[in-house]
Amino acid sequence: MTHPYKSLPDSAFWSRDVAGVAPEAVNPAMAAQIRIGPGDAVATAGSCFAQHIGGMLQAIGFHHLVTEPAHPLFTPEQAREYGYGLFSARYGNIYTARQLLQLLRRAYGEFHPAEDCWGEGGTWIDPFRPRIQPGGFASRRELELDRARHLAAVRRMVEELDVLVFTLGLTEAWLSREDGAVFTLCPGVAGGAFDPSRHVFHNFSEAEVVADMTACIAALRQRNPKARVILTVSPVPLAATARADMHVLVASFQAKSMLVAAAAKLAQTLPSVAYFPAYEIIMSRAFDAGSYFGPDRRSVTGAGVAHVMRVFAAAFAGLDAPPPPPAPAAPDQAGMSQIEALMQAHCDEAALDPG
Amino acid sequence: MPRLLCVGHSHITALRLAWAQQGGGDACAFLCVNEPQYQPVLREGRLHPEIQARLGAAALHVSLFVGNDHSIIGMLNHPRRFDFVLPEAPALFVDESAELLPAGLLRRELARRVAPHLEALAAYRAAVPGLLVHVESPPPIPSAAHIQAHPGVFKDLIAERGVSPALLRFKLWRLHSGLYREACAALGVEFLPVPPEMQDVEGMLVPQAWNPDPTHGNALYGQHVLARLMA
Repeated sequence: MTHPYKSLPDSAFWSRDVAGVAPEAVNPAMAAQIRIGPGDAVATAGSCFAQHIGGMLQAIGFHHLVTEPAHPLFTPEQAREYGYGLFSARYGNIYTARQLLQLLRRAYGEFHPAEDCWGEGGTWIDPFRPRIQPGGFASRRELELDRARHLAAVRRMVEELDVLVFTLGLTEAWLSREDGAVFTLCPGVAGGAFDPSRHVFHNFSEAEVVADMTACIAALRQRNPKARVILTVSPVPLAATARADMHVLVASFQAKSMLVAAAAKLAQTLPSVAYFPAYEIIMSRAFDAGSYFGPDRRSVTGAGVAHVMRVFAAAFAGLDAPPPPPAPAAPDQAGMSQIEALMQAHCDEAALDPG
Repeated sequence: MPRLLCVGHSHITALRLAWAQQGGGDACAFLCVNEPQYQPVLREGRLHPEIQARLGAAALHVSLFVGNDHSIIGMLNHPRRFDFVLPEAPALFVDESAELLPAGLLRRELARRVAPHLEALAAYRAAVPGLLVHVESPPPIPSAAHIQAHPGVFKDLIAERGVSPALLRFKLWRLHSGLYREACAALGVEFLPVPPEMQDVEGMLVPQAWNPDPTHGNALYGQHVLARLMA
């Protein structure tokens, strides 16, 4: 007696390729339609989990394209605190496809949100990256000049990248009633003031996510026809839902399920678009005693990120064992230590031998 | 016992020279901590015993615990030229062809650099009762030609990189001074700003106060600061 399952590979069977392998060896990535070569510039954007992707790319020897790098005057810790190097440009977390689409349009002067600046108590907040600058910008002029520089960096990223890895995070968002601008966070949470006459909640449907992401990819390829896209879904659950009638756990699973379905559909229908199952890798540990979630049952552990990294390297670069992470580069202080030493000598000279 | 005791780094020299030119005497004393016997300035949170022993009971204690950290960051053109919007004067010119840096981040880096000096100031505050005044660092010398003519140890680097724009140096000095103002307010130390007559219309050091080096005020500058302290 034969039937269709007889000829399927091990990967089709839970018992063989999930339960039958060590939990840390689960590899749900099928033959990737996209390859990443050593010289390919890989850009990253997306929700908070996407912050791991950039570091992961560097760790496995890929070229993480960063078009808005920190100035070498600053320490790596200072740079991270100000949102440098977390993604390819300093846009902070991008949770929804609509937000990415609007960023691309803003970068090319095709969208000018009406509510584009929140001033409060002498500081200024960018509603579209409200946590990029601890304490906010010190003046509106600083915000505007910084935003112009940032959007120029986004344009460079769009035009220079070979591969964009975008991590979908949420379906819930807060929009401007006036022009539909998507705020990164609900006004009032990290700047601004919530006003129900100006701000409205929206939960994007799967069709909207597919449409927005399709428009993103079209906009990207309009400027950069060679661009390949890898979509992932963040396994990090919602911190909160705006829907009072729904438990956050259910809202989270609904959102992630919809995003996975949307991403899969995009990968099936658009050329040079792949889906990478980071979400599934992290969730696979829900079926055994281990967990890739930290004590808050939300943040992803280093072991989980490492598992994602191994599978990513194998899927897109054919690397069975990722190379050891490169030693962290000494910050390019551009001769700062030399200047420090000379300044000390200069001041000692002025103090001890005033002439 | 001196009426006025000044303790601190190299900017103290301008005051010491001014006092000497005025005839000197015991009324003012100057303790320059660049001298090796005072190193390290801080030991377990307290001033070096050699400094501590000399503090005595002056009527007025004056701190010049201040480095040239703003000059370390910005006296020379950086290979990645930068500029920023000064929070207290956002309308000042910004070179948009240079890399725009967040003022808050620059301030944070300056704060990291001046932290040892502020610790020394705090230790000085803890060591003496009564009035303690901190003297603001002199503003930058605006003339690149002057700095190039008196480069001192920076000769080779100035030849290689060039002197950075005066306005950038001014803005960094303002950030630097802001950190000291805040620290003084928190520590109960009076902050003595630069004598206004020593600043030109843009707030930089007037030519007659330039020391023949890239960053310090001269004896005339010291004279004006002393006059303020003794008023």
